[in-house]
Amino acid sequence: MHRKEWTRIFTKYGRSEALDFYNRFKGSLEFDIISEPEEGLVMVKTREHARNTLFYMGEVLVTESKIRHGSTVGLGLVKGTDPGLSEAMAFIDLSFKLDKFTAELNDILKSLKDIEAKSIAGRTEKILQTKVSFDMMND
Amino acid sequence: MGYVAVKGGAHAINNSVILYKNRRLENGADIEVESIKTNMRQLINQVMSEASFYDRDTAALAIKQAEGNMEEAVFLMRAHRSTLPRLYYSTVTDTREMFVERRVSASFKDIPGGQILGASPDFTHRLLDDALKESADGPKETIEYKEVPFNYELDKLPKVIDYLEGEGLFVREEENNDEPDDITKKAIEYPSTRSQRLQALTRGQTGAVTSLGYAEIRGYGISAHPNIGECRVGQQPVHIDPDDDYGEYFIGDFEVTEIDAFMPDLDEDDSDAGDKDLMIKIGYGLVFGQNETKAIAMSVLDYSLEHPVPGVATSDDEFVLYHIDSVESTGFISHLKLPHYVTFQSKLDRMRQSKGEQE
Repeated sequence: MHRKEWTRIFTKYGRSEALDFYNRFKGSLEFDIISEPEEGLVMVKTREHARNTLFYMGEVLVTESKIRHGSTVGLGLVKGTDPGLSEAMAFIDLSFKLDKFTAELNDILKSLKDIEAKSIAGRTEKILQTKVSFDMMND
Repeated sequence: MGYVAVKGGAHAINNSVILYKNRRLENGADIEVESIKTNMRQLINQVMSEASFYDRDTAALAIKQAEGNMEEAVFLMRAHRSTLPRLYYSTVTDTREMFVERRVSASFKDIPGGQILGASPDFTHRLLDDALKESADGPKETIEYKEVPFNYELDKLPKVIDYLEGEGLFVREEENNDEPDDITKKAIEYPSTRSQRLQALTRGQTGAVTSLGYAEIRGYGISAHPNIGECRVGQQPVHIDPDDDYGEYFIGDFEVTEIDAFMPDLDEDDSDAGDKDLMIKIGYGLVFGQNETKAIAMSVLDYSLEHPVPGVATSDDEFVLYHIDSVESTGFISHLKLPHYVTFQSKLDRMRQSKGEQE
């Protein structure tokens, strides 16, 4: 699974699962802390559609952690102030890069994908209740 | 008078600060930051947008500390933002990937994907609701569910301009990947670039952007009625690329409002080809949070600055961009009440001296 996908799934739908995983396996893999959770900013670069150019629309608060095993670095980066999730995400990133605990991670992600699908379906159904049906005008 | 006392105010200043901090609690119970965050969503949206700093918790805290004073809350946010390191720049976000929660067009009844009203006060009576005097534990009314189309994907809705492009009425310009300027790193130099203008407009003070946008269309610039081609509100995913060969990293969704406004073609008089070459032109607005009025006004000002009308203030980038920033404008205006003893005494001395010489 691409990092773009698993980071989305854990961040949006699996905060407690990420923390559980971290607490369960952090003793089974040696790592050094490069940087404790720290708040910082990500500047958002955006494409506009009038002239198809780029501009900066503002900054988003994030919490970042970094850990290391040998020369491999695990990165934890989450929106807002969330040091716990940031640490857990750094450990998960390191685990994927070192190909450790991937069976356990994939099991968790599989069940989280179901939760994601149900959540999106529920939100979509709710929002679509406000979709205008112009046919109604002719009733 | 050659000397003006500048010491001796510490006691008074300290007590003024205490009085200010205490005043918030003198007439009632404290309010939780969490309550502000959940109940004052639109106020938070405005503060985040004008601060150009997206974080609902920080905005709620700033609003509490500022006693709901917008300009103070924005100032606090900007000040806090300046203490934080910028860790990354995102990869290019494209609103075509937005999870749409509201999407309407004022130009076409039938748009691909349909008109989705979402949550909006547009259809409410503007009557005070006495029921809100009582606290509520949760929603009192539930929506009525009907069957909806299967496999409808709200993060893949086509844009209205795609439809116009298909009709040959809008020409998509070639993708421009030039690095944008960043006005938080380097002050705007005039004439401004497009990226500077858009960044300044999106973080502009809501009231100022709205007023100037209104002036532009009411009679001081294009003096015409734009048509909102598409207004969309939703959750925009943001990614970074840590450049470690493992691909992009998702950091979160953030709420944005985007406007594509169809504008009158001010260049049409220059066309020798006549009506057959007339194309839709777009003014663009994109802001943090659900800030539809500001986003519309931004799209108007974007167009007016891209297609300036000579002699019109709202076509003058220096006039518009310098004066819409909340911290710049409120800071300068409010500083006028602070001590100017030395400079004013200097003026008085000159006046007295001149008067003495005349006598």
